[in-house]
This record gives sequence, structure tokens and C-alpha cells, in this order.
Amino acid sequence: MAKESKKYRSKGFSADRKQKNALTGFFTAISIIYLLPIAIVIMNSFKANGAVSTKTFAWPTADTFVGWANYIKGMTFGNYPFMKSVFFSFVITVLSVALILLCTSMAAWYISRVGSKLSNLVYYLCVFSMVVPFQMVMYTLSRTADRLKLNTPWTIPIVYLGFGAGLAVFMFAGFIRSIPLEIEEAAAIDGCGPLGTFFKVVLPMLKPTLISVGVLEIMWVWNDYLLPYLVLDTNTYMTIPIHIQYLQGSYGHTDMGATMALITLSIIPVIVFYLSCQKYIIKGVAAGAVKG
Amino acid sequence: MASLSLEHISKIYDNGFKAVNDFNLDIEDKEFIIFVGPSGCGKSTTLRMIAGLEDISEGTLKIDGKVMNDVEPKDRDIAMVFQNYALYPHMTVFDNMAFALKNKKVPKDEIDKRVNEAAKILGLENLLERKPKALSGGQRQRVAMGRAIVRDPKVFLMDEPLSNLDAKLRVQMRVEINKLHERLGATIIYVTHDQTEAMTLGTRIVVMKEGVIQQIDTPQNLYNKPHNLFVAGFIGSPQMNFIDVTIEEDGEKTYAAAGNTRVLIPEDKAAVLKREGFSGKTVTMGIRPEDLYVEEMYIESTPEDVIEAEVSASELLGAETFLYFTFAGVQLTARVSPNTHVRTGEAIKLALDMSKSHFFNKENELAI
Repeated sequence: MAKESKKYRSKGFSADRKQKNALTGFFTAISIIYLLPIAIVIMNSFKANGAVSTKTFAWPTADTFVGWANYIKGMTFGNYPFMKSVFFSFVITVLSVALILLCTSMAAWYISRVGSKLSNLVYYLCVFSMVVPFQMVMYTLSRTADRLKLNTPWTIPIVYLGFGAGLAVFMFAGFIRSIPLEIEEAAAIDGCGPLGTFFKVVLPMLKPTLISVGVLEIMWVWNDYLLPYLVLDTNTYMTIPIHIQYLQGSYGHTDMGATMALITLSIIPVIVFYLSCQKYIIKGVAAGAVKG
Repeated sequence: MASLSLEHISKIYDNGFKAVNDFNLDIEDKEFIIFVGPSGCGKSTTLRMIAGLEDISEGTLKIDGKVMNDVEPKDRDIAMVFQNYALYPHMTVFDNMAFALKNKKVPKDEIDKRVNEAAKILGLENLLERKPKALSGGQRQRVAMGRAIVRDPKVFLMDEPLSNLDAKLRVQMRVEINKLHERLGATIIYVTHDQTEAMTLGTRIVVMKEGVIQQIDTPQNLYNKPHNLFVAGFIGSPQMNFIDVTIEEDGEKTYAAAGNTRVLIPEDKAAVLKREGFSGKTVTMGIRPEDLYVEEMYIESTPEDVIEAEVSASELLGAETFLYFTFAGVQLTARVSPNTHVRTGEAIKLALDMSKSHFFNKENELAI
């Protein structure tokens, strides 16, 4: 009897392990497929310009390997300093994300707590804005941004605030609704006004959502090409994606090696940031989803 | 500490629903007032109006003689303990307790002193550096208490603070709260739907139903002299037995008759019933389960107060036994000694202690 049950159990266990192994193999394959483009970009950033287009998938050989040459070339190409583009990308990203986090968390708090018809309407407008494609509004938007002088790195965050608000308000509101109202009432009794309640009590509780919204918005703003290209005066202000685009010279000539090098440089900060915040992202995405 | 006065307080919501209707109460310094009633009776709403978390639609709220209707919660000098504790999850126990004092800009060493004092009273000294999520339910409850104590407020408001605890811990904390009341000499307003908490803690109890005060009295008076049918039924567990009886006069004596049985009403109660003109009329008679006796001794000594009924169920609870039986078409309960051995379906005799009986007008449900 005992022998039989042992046999049965070991059978079940091995079936379980088989399934596990199959899943591991499957997801390993998917991960490789996902990572392959990035690996190819990094690999090609060390190859000579010609070899990038002719032997794209080959490992660099003694003939094609050029070391850091592509990087040096990319960063010194043209008459616009690469570091300036990095600076503007950085400024726009930091200002935009800070503005989005501050304004939308406050807005979501208000919307979730007031619960009037008007606030509900605002909430649905925010959610609706997520489904409006950028291409639909980009021409009118770039004209408006020009008129309102929102065409500098210091003012373009306001435009980003408008575009980022939908997702951010949606995520914050979902999380705030899961916070018991009594905590805020306790704060009111403990001597906080609305601002004190928000900054001392609500905002610290939002930390996981702040980080996940922050990461999503940082990845979007940092990599965004079209909006700054349309809105900014690109002679004066370039961001990294615009700068990479400018490596494409006249008559369609493109320095592919240098382009790969700059793309590699531009994705490093986001990857580092994402990896260091990863555990909060998963927490934050799940946090607003269901009532705690 | 302070006195409170609630004058004609009402709460009317936007949709016209009247949650609290003409609430009048004067609370003296150091009183332990309990608001009790079924769910939705307006007890929590009243408490929240005192706290300033809900607007007062009508009436005046005074704390220490000062009108508080439009004063912000933080300026009312009150502290509140919530049902779900409402601790700040991102702060340590110490910071939770110190939060109100920090907001008031109390000097740091004073904060340390007061928090440590409160922690000592509540046995939280070793937990001050922990976050709420690392505490058990009982510990969280004590932190919520501590947060109120350090404030040294004029009034403590407690909204069902024990209802999230398990039965054993609830009894323990009930005793702790009672001690705390004596130690701090605080004015406490306490909301509960648990009548045991109400009876054991309160110096006075306010019984509410559908937004209206039914009776304000000491626990003893509520139990012995309920003003109406609702209070009589709400206070006491198992609840009071109610039987519709007709008042019959037979010479000098007055009887309460139901079906074929009639029981003698004591002279003092009979006099009141007669004076109020209930002779020959039907009234509701109430008698508590513990005032029904199965012992031969009682049955023999009061042969005119005996009823006969068939037992439909009996529950042995260790220290007592509940007998359920049907009499005159209504289900009644008797609380008897655990040594009573009665089988289900058996017909038994029960003596009613009619000196403890209550009579209620059937029309307005008020006590006669």
C-alpha cells in the first residue's frame, strides 16, 4: 500500500517536473526573442559602418570590429554636441515625470474622494484620453504649443503632463480607492489640513504606485521622438532620439555604426533605472488592480 | 476633560434621508457614554458629527460651552479611535502616536515623554519601532488607543473599537478600556452594537433606532425600566419574551390572559394598568428569560403565575440552559439552571416572576 502511494507520488512529481521544464524552455525562448534586438544593436555598435548593413547578424570579426570608434564618432558627429542632447533629454524627462507624478496623484486623490458627478466626468475624460492616438492631435497640438510658448525643454513638460495624465490618474485613482478613508479622517483629527493630509499621509502610502507610474512615464518620455520633434525648435534644442535621427545625413546616407552606438547609450539609463525599481513596479501594478 | 451638549442635532443627507433626528444629550465631565443600536440607527453618524467628520444639518454642538458646529476636526480637541484602527501604515508605532503632537509643534522631548508614557500604560514599549503591518490585531488596537491618549484630548470618541477583535481579546480590551477610563478620568463617547460592551462600560447608555433616541439611562435602569418595546427587546440576551395579553379584572384581582391561561398581575402593576384605562384591553407583556422558573418550589409558591407549555428545544451552555417553547402562539425563552433535565417535546410548567414583568401599550409601544 505504502509502496503504491509512493510510486504514485513519484509519478505525479515527475509529470510536474516535466511540465515545469517545458515551461522554463518556453519562457527562455521568449526571453531570448525579446532580448535579441537589443543584443544585435549592442553587437553592431562595435562593428564598422559597412558591416552593419551587410553582415548584421554576424559576430564582429577582426576585420569588422572597430572598438569604441562608433561611439566617439556618434558623440562628435555634426555641429550639435551630443552631451547637450543628453542634457535636454534629462531635463525634459525629470521635469515632466515630476510634474506628472505630483499633479496626477493630487488629481486622482481629489477625484476618488469627492465623488461628485463633475469629478467622475473628469476621471472618465482622463481614462478616455488614453485611447486617443497622438497622431490624431499632433498637428493642432504643435501649433498650440508654439502659440503658448511651450516649445522649450523648460515648458514642454506641461504638454507631457497632458498626455501622461490619463494613465497616471487611472493608476493612482485605482490605488487610492483601496485606501480606507478613515486614515485620512484620522489625519484630519490629528491636525492636518487637506495639504498636510495629502503630503504627510496619502503621498507616502502611494509610494509603490508612484514608482511604477514614474518608471512607465520615464521610459515613455525618455524614448519619445515625435512630440519633441514637432514641438521643440530643433535647431536650438535636441533630445537624444532627435539627435540619433540627425545622424542620417543628406541624400539618405546613414552612419549605421554610430546610430547603433548612440541607441546603446540612450537605452542604458532606462534599463538601469528599470532594473533597480523592478520590484516596486510589480507591486504597484498589482496594488491598484484589486481592492486590498 | 470636558462637558458636551448636543441640542436638537439632526443629520439630513442630500437625498432627504434623515439619519439622525432631533438628538438631545448633555454629557458631563468624565462620563462614559455609549451609543448603542442596530446597524443604520445613526449612532456612528452622531459620533462623526461630534468629531467634525460630518456636517451638522440642524442643531448645536457645544464642547465646554463653546459652539463647535463649524470648527474643523483638528481644532475641536477630540481624539477618535476607529473601527479599523486607521493607523498610518508608513509610520512606526512611535510616529503614529506622535503624529498629532508633531502637527501641534509640541517640543520633541515632551513628545518623547508623552508617547513613552502612553506606551507604558498600554504595554507597547517594545513595539515602538515596528510598523503597523508587523503588529497583531490587538496590538494595532492598542496603538490606536495610544494615539488618542497622547493627545490628552477633551473628549475621546470611539467607533466600535473592539468589533474587529476575536471574542477573547475583546473581553480583555473591554476591561482595559474600563481601567483606562478610570485612570485618565476622561470623557468618552463610545459607539457599539454589542450590548455587553454597552452594559459593562457605560455610565449612561443612549439607545437609538432609526435616528431617534429611544432612551438615555444608566445600564441598570435600561435593563429594569425600559421606556418602550424596542429598548426592552434590544437590551438583554436572550431578548425579553413578549406575549400579547388581555387585562382581565376578577373581583379584587387583575389577570393577564393569553389563550386559556391567565396569570395574576401584582397589585402595584395592576393599579397602574387600571388607572391608565387598560382594563379589558390587549397589551404586550414582557418578561425576561431569567424571570421564568421551572423549579417546583417557585411553581408551588405562586400557583396563580404558572403557565404550561411544550419544550421545542433546549440549549445547554455550561453555566445555564436555555429552554425554547411556544406559548399562546409565540416562541418564548427561559434561562434556567443547567441541572434542569427536560426533553424536547415534554410539557412543562413554568412560574413567571410577575413582579419583574413589563407592560407595553400595543399602539405606541411605550411602557405603561
